[in-house]
Amino acid sequence: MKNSRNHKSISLIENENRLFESPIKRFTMELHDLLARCLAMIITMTLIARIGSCLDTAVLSEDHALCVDKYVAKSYFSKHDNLVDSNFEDFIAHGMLSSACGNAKFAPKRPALHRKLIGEGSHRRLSSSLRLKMSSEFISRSPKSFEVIIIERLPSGVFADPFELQHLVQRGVFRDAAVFGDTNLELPSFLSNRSLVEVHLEVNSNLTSQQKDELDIHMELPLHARYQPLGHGFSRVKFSSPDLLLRCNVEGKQHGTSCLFLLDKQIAESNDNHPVWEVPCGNREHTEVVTAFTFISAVVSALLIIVASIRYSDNTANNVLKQS
Amino acid sequence: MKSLLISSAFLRVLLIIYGEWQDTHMEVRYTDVDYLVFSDAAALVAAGKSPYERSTYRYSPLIAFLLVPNSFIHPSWGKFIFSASDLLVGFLINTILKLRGVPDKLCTYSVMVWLLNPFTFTIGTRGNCEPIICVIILWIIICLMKGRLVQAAFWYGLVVHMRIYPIIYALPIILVLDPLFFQYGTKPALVSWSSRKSKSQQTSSCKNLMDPCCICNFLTSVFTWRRIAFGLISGAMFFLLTGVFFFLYGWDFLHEALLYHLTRTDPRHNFSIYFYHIYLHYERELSNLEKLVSFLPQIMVQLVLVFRFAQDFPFCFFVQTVAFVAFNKVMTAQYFVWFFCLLPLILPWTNMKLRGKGLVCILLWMAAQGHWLLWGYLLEFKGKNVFLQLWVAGLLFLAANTFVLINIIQQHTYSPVFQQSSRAASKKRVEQG
Repeated sequence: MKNSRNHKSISLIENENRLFESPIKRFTMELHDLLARCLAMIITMTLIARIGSCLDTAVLSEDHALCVDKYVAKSYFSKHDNLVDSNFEDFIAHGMLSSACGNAKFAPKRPALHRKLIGEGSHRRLSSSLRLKMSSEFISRSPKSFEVIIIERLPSGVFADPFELQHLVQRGVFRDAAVFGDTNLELPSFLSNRSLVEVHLEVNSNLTSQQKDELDIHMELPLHARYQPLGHGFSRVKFSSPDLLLRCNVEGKQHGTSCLFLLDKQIAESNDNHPVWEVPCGNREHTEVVTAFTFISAVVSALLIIVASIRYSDNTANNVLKQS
Repeated sequence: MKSLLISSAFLRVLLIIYGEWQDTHMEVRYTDVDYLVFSDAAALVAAGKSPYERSTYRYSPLIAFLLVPNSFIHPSWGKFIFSASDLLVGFLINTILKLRGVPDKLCTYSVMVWLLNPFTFTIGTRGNCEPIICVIILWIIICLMKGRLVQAAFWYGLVVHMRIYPIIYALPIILVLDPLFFQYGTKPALVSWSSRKSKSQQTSSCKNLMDPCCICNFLTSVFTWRRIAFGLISGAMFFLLTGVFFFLYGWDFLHEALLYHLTRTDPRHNFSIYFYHIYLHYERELSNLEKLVSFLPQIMVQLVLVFRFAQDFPFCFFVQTVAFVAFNKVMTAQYFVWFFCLLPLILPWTNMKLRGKGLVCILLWMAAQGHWLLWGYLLEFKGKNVFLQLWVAGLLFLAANTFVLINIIQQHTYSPVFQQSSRAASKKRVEQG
């Protein structure tokens, strides 16, 4: 699909250039030609990017004919600044028109989800194992491969590094991944807003080699703890269950048209356990002691260095006096 | 010397190749995270965009410009540039020591302290930009020693633009541009290493800081045209670069490359003694008084060191940098390169024996750092609540830094870089007579 899109863009650029080429060659110098070409390229590229994003993404229903971005969550953040659970749930419930696709009723039912945190310390991985029961109708009607979209609404105490996710996309671990919301990686949790991670996994529905009608999907999302608000010992960061969506291209229709299903969340939730990350936090009772001793030690060290430098000069001055 | 440089170059090339291998085959990357940031920023520049579209790019756009070939020659281009500057640092150290009359053998030993230091060669090959800063600092020292003040001022303005910390060298440079050493039309005469003991202190214009006559002299002689010219040229260079990049990239540049470093207070754990204090106070603003109090030890130490050691300015730069890093609000391991590149410049003048106190200093400094890293590991990778222990480890590291610095000062043979020119000396004698 990507290749065909590139093809399109190249041919469009060529057309655009040809349009510009003839008058320019006649009337202007080579430099201007180059500039104009660059300009034309930029204009074409932006146009293509616009058109491409529409072609690429899901058209949810024919009567609505919406142009939706590659990432589902992007349209939420174009309307809202912050991630608020109730707003997002509304968005997912009303924004996704799953009935638009003909084979929606055959969509996988009863997804079973198991989640746990792997690793220790400030850098851990949230592992999600998803088991989908596929109906034979769905398999027969849907194309060979489809996408599972996992939308993880992160609690404010943790964040995902968008650059790290991009690295995983490049290595082929995820098909696509993006972080929305507050992506400042350095702020402590009490100064940052929540963020959302959307991961697209490519799933091959060619099930002959696996169990007949079940599909296992596994994802490990690298996450990092922010500095927690002050407290006693540890602060508990609890994960909510993710939103699961399924996207597949509809065969026989216009290229790029795809279908989006919301996987039944209630059923998913019953099997879900909400993992908790215990992140060490600073102790407010330490404040006075830490502040006092920090400054005392800074002042004492500074004084020692100052005294040493002053005494050093005196010594050498004395040496010089003795020598003379 | 030549074979040393060649073998170090070979070692660096091997490490870069090994780094490529580790990056592709292992979970933990050899390459520094910052290098990926530079590369992304350089790719943005190559595409005609602002490097600040890459979040966490907090450097001068010049670094991104330098790494533009990363996108079309090879992703490791930058590492070669940084490692080449790392080698150049070794070469410049040799040049400075030769200029000061240090014997060949001692020069080579000193250069080895830089080139074969595992800390420094990994920094360049992992893709950290600090070696470039070190090269410029050393080049400024050479320019000053050769009396090329315009060039020194040009590079000084540039280096302060690239990394703000060299601003601490402004005062010693101004002090060293003394009319006693710099005469019109002649190169300043350098004090030879071999005469270090007998001549110590002779050329120091101010023996006692508190002498009122000295202060008066200082004030009247401070505004010489050389000092003003140095200030104007370096200031113009700094503001020109800042202005150009502000014009190109707007507030993003100003916020990320300058203001961020000036106002940086990091609540996340780092070697600084202040980190836990900052974390405990992060929920409320620190008052101005508190900010001032935390700045006071830093500024006091800087001032005293500058006024005591300015005439021996490589030594002055070194002790200033060690103290600056030790008292800074943020301290990470890459800051150590700032003084590692100056360390070989002072070694020929130290009386410390490697087998005696020298070894004690090295071991103590490394032990304090290792101790901190142990607690840091437990906090970051094991999730243990060891904030208090980590903070105590930070205090111990400061104590180790202080101990090492005091020892270095005590064992150093103070040796001003410049000889008083005979004309100036005779003039002074006449005045005093």
